[in-house]
Amino acid sequence: MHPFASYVLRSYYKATGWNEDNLYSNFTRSSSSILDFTVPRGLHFSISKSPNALFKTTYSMNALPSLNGSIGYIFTSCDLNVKGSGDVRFKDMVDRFRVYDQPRRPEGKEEVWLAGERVDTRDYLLYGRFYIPTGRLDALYSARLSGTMQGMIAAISDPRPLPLGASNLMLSLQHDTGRTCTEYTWSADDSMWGVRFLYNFGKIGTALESPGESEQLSTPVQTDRSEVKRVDEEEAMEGGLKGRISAGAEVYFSAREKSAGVSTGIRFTTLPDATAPSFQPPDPSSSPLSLSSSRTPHLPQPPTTITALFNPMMGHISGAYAARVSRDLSVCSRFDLNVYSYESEWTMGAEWWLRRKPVLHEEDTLDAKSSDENSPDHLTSAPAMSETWTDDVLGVVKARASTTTDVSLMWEGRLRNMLVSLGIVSNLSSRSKPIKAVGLELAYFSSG
Amino acid sequence: MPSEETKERIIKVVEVGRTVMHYGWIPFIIYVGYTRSSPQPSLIKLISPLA
Repeated sequence: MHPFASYVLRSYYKATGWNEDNLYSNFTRSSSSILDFTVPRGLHFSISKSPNALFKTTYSMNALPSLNGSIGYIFTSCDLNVKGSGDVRFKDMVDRFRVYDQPRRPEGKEEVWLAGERVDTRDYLLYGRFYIPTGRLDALYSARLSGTMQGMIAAISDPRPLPLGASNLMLSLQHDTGRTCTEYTWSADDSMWGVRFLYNFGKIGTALESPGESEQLSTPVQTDRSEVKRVDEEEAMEGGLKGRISAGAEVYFSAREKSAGVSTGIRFTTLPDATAPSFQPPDPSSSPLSLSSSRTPHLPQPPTTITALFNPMMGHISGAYAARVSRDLSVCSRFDLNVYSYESEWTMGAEWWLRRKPVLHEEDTLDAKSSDENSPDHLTSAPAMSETWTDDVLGVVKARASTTTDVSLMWEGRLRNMLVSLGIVSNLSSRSKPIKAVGLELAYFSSG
Repeated sequence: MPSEETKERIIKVVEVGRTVMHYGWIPFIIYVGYTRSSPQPSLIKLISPLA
């Protein structure tokens, strides 16, 4: 489950039109959402409130094994419609497998002119969190410098002496043009400079398109295929997955530590309008009455992301394959190998969405079936059915197992108005202590 | 090269700046939130989510 602060940060990016998925640091987000989920350990409570659309307050407390807490404050320059934990869209609160939308050039705020002067201010976010009893402070300032640029300053200040309290200051400048995205970073602790770069091949979404979510059920695009074909025209061979490719690289070096690193990666991801095979709404053009090119079957392709990372200096190779194989089940498998030491790890994971039973009257479907097969009612009944399915998620179960680490299992869901996350980490090879950790996290937030 | 004295002064300024940021950052956010919000909420509502 996302902490409240990162949920607000995501909402802020969404409200300002900043695409954080186009950063190279989020290159493997699809697979790591299934494989690298954090299981809560011990007891966590958090309660948050947004007294108005600009300001948010959050308190959190951890009990077991040790008691500590933190208070955080967030201020954003733009209105964020942050909902309460009872009515927030559950999928916005958890890390999950997604096929991300086509990147597009971010647009800045509309210019507002008053008496010959530009009066609109740039968007910014202020965040501070104070930990008790350690006295540590986390601070973040993020500002949209222009339509395609965003700057960020993050700091950790810990008053304790050095081995315990490590203070740091990180600066980052992000430049996203849709086609490319560059991020420059500097960290004060070890004077580390870094550049991350990502390039998207193929078609780029135009800024005018509304950024729809990949997951929303979109009916297959009909416009291309509705062209009437010549009688002797041959069908294009359709096969394999259709999608887009992105490539990225990262370079970092530190003069003080005399160290440097390089990482490169390539990613293939299917186009966002791909829907899971078991959830393909019937194609209206398959009706015998349709005059369009009904012979072309719409090949369903599961939403899939394949990533490969290579770090030539460390000799680390990582390949991941993630796909949504049905409406409720996404699976991912990842293989890590070090070419110098031959150390390897194979990780497998899955996320399974739990839903309420669809609110559908049996008779309605039967009636539709018994009626004339070619009637328009029959054709529309299935998509209507799918619409009632979309947003009745009860929770999600995530599981992960790997050849070297432990087996983890986690359930996230909503109980009344509270978001609950329950997790267990076990080591099945150890007979004396098969269960390593158990955790429960409760979060409540409200607005107004 | 700056002299030793200048270096010491810079280190001192950085140290003071860090202390000011450490204790002033959260009051600063609350101040910004209090002055920029409209309608202006009561201060206690900004400070505590339980209020």
